[in-house]
Amino acid sequence: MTKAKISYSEAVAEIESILQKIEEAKLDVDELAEKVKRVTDLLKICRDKLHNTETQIGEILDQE
Amino acid sequence: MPEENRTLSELLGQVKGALEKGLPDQYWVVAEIMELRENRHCYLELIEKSEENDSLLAKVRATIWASRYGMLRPFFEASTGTRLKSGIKILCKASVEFHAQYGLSLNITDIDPSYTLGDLARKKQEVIQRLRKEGVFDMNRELPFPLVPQHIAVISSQTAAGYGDFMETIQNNRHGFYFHATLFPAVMQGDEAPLSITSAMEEIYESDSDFDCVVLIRGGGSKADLESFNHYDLSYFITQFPLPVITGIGHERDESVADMVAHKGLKTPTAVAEFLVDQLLAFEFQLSAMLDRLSTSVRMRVQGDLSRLERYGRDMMHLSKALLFQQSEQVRQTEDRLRRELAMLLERKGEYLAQLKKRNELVDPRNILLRGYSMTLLEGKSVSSIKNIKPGSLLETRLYKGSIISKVEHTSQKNDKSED
Repeated sequence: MTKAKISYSEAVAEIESILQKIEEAKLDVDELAEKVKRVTDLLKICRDKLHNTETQIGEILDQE
Repeated sequence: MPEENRTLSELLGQVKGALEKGLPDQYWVVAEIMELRENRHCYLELIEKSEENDSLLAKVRATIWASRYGMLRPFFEASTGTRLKSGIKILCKASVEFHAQYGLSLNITDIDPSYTLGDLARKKQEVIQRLRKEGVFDMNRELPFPLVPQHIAVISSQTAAGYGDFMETIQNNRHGFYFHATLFPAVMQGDEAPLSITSAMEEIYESDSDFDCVVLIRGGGSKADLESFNHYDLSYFITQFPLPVITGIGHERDESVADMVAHKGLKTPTAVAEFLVDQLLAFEFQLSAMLDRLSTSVRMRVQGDLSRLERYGRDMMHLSKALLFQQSEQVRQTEDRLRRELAMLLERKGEYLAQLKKRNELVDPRNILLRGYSMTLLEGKSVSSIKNIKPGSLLETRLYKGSIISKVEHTSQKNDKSED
């Protein structure tokens, strides 16, 4: 955890709020593309963190 | 030496004889162990304390000879989950012994573990009641559990088999999840266990690392000593800890108080590890579900947009057709109007020309001549008075058809009738 990075729960909360906006059709097309990218980025960040495939530098710093 | 005097040994010999006569059997006695020492034999100090104020009411030495102790000890530990140790109450069968040199002692030949069990259960209930009364019993369990418990503080004995099982299970999980586990070593059995464990928890609390939860594991040790996990101080410490505590202390019978107050009480270190792996798996499922939701909603959204665009397209076609029709109609009307107006203009011009022609015809001298008028010319110029006309002048009289040349005889002023 820690680091200046986004936490799991922050990521989930942001994804949820974007999904809701998309489902309620509250975004115009340009925004939609941008938000879809944001969601997939966040999902990737979470997955990478789960499997620790992100760079381990943060982890090492974390231990100091 | 007078006859009524006796030696100490004689007196004590009489005491011994009186005891053997007065208390000849073995008796079931309830007592608390104050001290315990063992080589092959077991030497105890037994006491009784006042229930009201804890003051000492009785105290005696006791012995369990090796021949009995070798049998009684394992049976007691297996039955109660605790060793014979200081603070434990026992129901034992004992004979009263008296030795002139060593004094009074009890020779224990049997112990009924069910009494101790009941006593321990009562004590455990007391600890539970106290924690409930203090309003702290559920405090650790009410902490929110982290979404992804990935950074784990482990309290265990480094050499415990259970610790190895735990590490193996989380580090080689088949989903490839990453865990970061830090060991805080503690003594997990014996009287020092509660203090050692709470010290480890303090160390975790003061550490700079952000842990998601604490795992308290023990395994492979003796089945006895679980009594430590019913300890009030340890249990209280768990309730007050700011991180969720998960226990895997290998209980097989009853849950310990530590298990009960912990966020989650599991049976074995491996079960704890599997629980953690499952949490991460659940989170990964959640991520997949969110991805599904994303693609579904985006697909629906794009389809919606497309059909709306199609509808716009159709509307646009209708609209432009209508517009086109309207405009060509306008053109046609303008054309008509123009045509009509041109025609009218032409007509008007024609009439005007006709009038002009008529008017021209009226003033044409020839038309006047035609009506019988004639024209008189002198030297090619028309004559309208007698001025310049003298007798003998040649005049030309022009008629409609032909002309006459004549000579002037005389002229007269034609002004009025009086002159005629």
